[in-house]
Amino acid sequence: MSNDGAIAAYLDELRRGLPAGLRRRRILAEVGSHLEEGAERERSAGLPPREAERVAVARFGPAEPLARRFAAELADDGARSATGAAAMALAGILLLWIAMSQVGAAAPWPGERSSIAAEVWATWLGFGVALMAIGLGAALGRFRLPRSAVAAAAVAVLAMGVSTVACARMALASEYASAPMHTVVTLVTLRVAVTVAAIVAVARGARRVVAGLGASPRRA
Amino acid sequence: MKGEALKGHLDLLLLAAVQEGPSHGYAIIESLRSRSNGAFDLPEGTVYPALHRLESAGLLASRWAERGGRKRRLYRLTPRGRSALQRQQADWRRFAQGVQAVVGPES
Repeated sequence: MSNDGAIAAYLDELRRGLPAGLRRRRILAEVGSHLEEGAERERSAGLPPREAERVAVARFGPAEPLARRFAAELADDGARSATGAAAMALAGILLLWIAMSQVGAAAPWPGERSSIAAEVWATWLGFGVALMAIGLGAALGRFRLPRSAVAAAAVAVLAMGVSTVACARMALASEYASAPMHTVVTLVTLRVAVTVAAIVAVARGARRVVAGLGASPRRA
Repeated sequence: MKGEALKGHLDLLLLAAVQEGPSHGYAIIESLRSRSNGAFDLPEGTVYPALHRLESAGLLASRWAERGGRKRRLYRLTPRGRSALQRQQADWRRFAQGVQAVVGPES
């Protein structure tokens, strides 16, 4: 393939229309391989190399609508990974909360100590709001599911972030003094790690969803 | 037949095209074209987003394979994909029989 040929130009246009990431590399490699194979067959049939590339590209179809279709697929993937990450992180936070309660560093239920109750309730309130956003978004059809799902995941990780900050502040203020210090440090560190990982995963998913907004209908 | 006419049927066609064994995008398109006697002459790029979607849905799995110095992505049916294909084939046959009954034979 020549760098200034029709295939290279096509792949450049497709690259510009796709969000960066591992999936983009795969798509470009797959499309490039297909176009090379098509051009090779045209050359075998007697066409000059440049013409062979041009014919292969023409048979493949225009790059811009293809990029939009792929972007829509990537948006769905992004929403799935964002909501999956948020759900796994919520489960992780719950397990860590149970672990903390086992070592005597649990947040009591509301009414016992309001500052700690806020930490627990921020998570579950956020989770509830997130679920409602998914349900309402889908039921009303006002948003495509990927958008409402990723918005819900964002609300959930935001709530997780708030509650994790509260948890870390309480650990620093020695409010968990009744529990072994090294255990509390380990559990709080794990919780911060889970929260940060979830925020990063949801942000990446959201980026793919945003890149796919306005894409053409997904089914050919 | 253009893409618009195939709306809603592309998934079934793609699943059917890989039921005999792993296949790459180029071969899948060739298979659709030849098995339909040229009726399904889609822009070739159309099938890739659909293949990716079917893979994301767990109906297809894929891997890179190299032959003759060219890397190709091979797609194969997953067990879920095989079940989905059987279901969609049955739906399609019912639908086609219904349409045929209404439209009637060729005059």
